[in-house]
Amino acid sequence: MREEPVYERGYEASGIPMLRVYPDAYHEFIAELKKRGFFFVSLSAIHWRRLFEIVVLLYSVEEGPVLVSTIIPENEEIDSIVDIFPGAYMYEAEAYELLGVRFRGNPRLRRHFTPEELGHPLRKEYELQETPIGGWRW
Amino acid sequence: MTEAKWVKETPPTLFLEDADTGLYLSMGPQHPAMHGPWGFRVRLEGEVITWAEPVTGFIHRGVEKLMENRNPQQGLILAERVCFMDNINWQLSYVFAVENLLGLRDAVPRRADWLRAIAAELNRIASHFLFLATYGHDLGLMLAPVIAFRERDIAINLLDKLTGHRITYNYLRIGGVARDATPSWINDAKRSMKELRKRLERYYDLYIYSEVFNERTRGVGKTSTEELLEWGITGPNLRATGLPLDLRASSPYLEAYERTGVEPATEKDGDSYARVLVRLKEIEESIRIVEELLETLPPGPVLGVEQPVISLRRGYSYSIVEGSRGWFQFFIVSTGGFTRGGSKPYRVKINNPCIQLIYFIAEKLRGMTLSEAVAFINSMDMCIGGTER
Repeated sequence: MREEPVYERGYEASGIPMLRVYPDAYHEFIAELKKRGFFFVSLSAIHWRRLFEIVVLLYSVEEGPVLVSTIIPENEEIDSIVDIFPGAYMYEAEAYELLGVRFRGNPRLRRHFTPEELGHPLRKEYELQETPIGGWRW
Repeated sequence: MTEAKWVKETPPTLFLEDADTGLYLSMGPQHPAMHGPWGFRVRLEGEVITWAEPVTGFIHRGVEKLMENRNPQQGLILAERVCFMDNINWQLSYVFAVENLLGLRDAVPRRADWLRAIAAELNRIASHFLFLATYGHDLGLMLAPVIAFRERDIAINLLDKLTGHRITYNYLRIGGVARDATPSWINDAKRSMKELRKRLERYYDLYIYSEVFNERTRGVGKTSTEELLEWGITGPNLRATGLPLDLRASSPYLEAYERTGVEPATEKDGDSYARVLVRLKEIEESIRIVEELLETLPPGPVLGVEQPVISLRRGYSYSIVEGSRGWFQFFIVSTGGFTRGGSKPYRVKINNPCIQLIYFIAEKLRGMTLSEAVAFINSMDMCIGGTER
């Protein structure tokens, strides 16, 4: 692990601390926080055209919430955290399905909500479409 | 319970395979014990489930994508359609995220703060009664849906008179609420709360002291605090294992909750029985909160910001609200900028605490009998509409 995995500390608008970590230290940093008593709440992904940002919300009864953010290039993979927190199974699967983020080590990375033909609808280059895609397959 | 033989995880097949002696059964999306269009494909060995895989994908509406193409005022209407059962709390979460981003939290008048809390608690009561109705029906308490829907109607009727709608209220605004409560409504609400408290006693007879209910729920689907925290499951399901974690109590997001104080309802067993009992206690606590808030409702305006609000500042905003099913979270990322029709958020992420339940339930189902599975799945109070969004 890096000497200092966090390269930026700040707060988002509601006052929750937000830590930006290097992508190679992301998995270990989450594991460290788990040892400190934090538990997993949710995982969000943002598509910044060429980059993906992964934001994980952790909560500790003593210390309150913290957001851990990491940024990866669009075509690279990131370590899955399902071995630390199994709650991330669906969040990562959803980020894969709707945005195309690939997580290394998540066995349930498949489509759950939308048909295959839809692609990744939450990507920024994806335009809203008038005609329905897919439909029922009996 | 017989010893279940563990099978290798294979993709579900429709028909019996030659070498496979188990029976594959589709439990949902059309199944009397599954609430909402989702389900499980389970493999049965006798009556014991040896393998389960969730079946989803029937109700994805793309709320997040729609919000990214609308201004914050239009997003209000979408926010409450995430889950129809507890939509005031969903809208509250959205409103907080936008208000924090715009720095408008101090602009909300005190009366609006109180009315938000009253509406949220009434909606929580309605949501928990809906749970009691459907869950009782699953367990064979055939009277439960009839009387629980009647009690739910008391809360719904109050919200109807306050907001003008029965299901999707669209009551909150950025910077306040849409309508003020009249003195006659306040009297009406006080009377209804007294009536509801009286009727709630009957539910202990119907559920907690009922032989059928005890037989079917005691020790079914036992969960521990550590397990639920690893899965990130919050709300009444977590409190049923003994951890008194309630955001209304630990970090009150409305001034009204600070004023009344909230006593988190807890149980220690963590089984289906405890989960029902926690919700019954929560209804009682919500009634107390509403009664206290009605007594101390401050005078003044209910809207502190000029409508409509169609601009957004640059930044990240994360809001967490203690809903009836756990923590309702809105994550709004905005790059600022103003185009025709107002500024749109760059990314809206709706994090529903029910989404973890899909695989949590699937993993817990192994080793259960089919009748236990029904009593377990629905005791988690899953909302699939809010999960797929």
